[in-house]
Amino acid sequence: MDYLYNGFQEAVRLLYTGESGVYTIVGVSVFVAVSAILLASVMGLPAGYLLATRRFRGQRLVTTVLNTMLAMPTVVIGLFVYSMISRRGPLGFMELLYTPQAMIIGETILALPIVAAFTLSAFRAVDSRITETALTLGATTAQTARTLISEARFGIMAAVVAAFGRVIAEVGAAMMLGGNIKGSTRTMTTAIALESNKGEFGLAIALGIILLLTAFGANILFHWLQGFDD
Amino acid sequence: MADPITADPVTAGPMTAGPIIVGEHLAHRYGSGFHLHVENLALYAGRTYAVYGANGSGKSTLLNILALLTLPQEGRILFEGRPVNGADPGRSRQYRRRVTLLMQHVYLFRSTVFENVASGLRFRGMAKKAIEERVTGMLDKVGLRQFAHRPAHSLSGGEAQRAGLARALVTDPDVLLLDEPTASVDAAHGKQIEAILAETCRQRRMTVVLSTHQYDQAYRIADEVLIMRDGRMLEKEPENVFKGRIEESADGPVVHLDCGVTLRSDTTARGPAHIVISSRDIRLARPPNKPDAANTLVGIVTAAAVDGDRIRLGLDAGPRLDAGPDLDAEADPGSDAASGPHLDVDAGLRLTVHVARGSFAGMGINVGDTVYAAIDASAVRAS
Repeated sequence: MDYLYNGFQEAVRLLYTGESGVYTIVGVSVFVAVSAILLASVMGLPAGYLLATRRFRGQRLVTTVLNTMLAMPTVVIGLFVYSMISRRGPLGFMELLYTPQAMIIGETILALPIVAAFTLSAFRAVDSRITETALTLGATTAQTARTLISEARFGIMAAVVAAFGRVIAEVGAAMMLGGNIKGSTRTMTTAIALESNKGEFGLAIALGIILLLTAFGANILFHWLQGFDD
Repeated sequence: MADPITADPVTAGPMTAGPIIVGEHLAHRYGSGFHLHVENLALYAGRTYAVYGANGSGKSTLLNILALLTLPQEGRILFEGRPVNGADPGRSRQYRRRVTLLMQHVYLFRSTVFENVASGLRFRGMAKKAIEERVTGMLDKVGLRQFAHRPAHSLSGGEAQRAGLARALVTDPDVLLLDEPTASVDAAHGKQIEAILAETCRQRRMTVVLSTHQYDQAYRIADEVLIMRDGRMLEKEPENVFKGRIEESADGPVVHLDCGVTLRSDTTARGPAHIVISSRDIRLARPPNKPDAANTLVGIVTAAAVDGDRIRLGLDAGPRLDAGPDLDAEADPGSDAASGPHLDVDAGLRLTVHVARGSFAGMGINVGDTVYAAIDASAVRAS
């Protein structure tokens, strides 16, 4: 069991000194996750809003597909994007494979259904009287929408946080699309997988601690935000 | 462009003597089978109306239609004589900025009390300073000044209702619709809300339409009481409301009125109740034409007055005495059968009857005449 004890010691040292590029790896993880969440939010928040407030043909189907996509395995997303951007793929000419951009594409696809589905349920969960109240107070269509968004703001933030928690902890797509290149596409999750394989537990544990704290933090924030909807 | 809020209420208000809001042939049907049908509704500026009726009588539906939250499947609304297109967001917004609704269970936004009360003014793009001034003044008026910067969700039910009222009133509406404004608050808060309304109406010419299931409240507050039942509007006055009890009999439900008259009904209610007999559902006939109806009373016409396109008659009526002399037998062909002074009417029921002008003229009824009053079982209902 010495190797674990030594691993912990090493981890604390690495976290303190920042050696072995610990914080570069953290930086890549955060950069990829935040970029993917921003992109997913730009698409997912309006999609969730429209699904919650508009009535159209095929709405149930779209909602069902969205909820199914919540369970999409990340390696399948990795496989899909890989096949698109690898040399022989239709987007191969863009040379995206093993770049942070490739990871962002994959993580965006992962985050989008989470953001959209949680936003949808956030709008569904808010009081049905909000729209009517805004209308009776003379709100325009845009003002009514703004009021609704404002009232659902905690649920919407929770949707974003949940997606962030999922993306930052994801390893399958990150590995397949990023390739775990040091200083470029090595993220916390891919580094942990590699370092564990190498038996270098110090760096793995150091990153594990940060990842755990990040994931816990996101989860606590998520539940705290959800608490506002009671 | 004139600011719709700060414009002088006298010039902004209706300039014609006609009704500010007219509802024409409003009809709306829900999947549940409920059917609202209000043939003609005229609301005049500066008056206070109470829409009185039991739960499920259609009060809320009517108010939602008047607030353009529900688009009626049939009929239309005229505002100051012009039709309102509820399907057009811009037009309906213009209307809603002058006609506002306070819902029975008020929803306060997730912000402070101040922000809630300010929201209508913000929607109108009013300047910050003016909003500050008006909202503070309004909060003072409803006694919530000290709560201004508290979260709205921390208010009690009664306080929330007052905040909702303040939020509606601060926009200075021409017409204020209130759906059961005091039903979900305690008596003390109810009185407060009534007082705020009365005070506001004293200061400003505003049309108020409030729905209530409290009979006393309707009469305490309103200039005019509109009675709703099963989605229909009954007479403007509480005509033909009697105390009594409904019992089961071999031939279906019967209503024993406290005045001693027993009528057939097809109501599903049982036990003590206020009984309403719709004054438009009473058919009159002069002897010897005996009408065919579940309930046929005999009455003496005590009053007659013109009421729009109808004649309103007062009738002292009582059960037809089967044991006594039959009116048919009295009717000697060629003689004036109706004015038989010897006819003994056991009059205990003071009925108001509406008759179309045309048929009134055709019947030639005069005050003092004896008539048959035929009441269908469906017209005898529990209040």
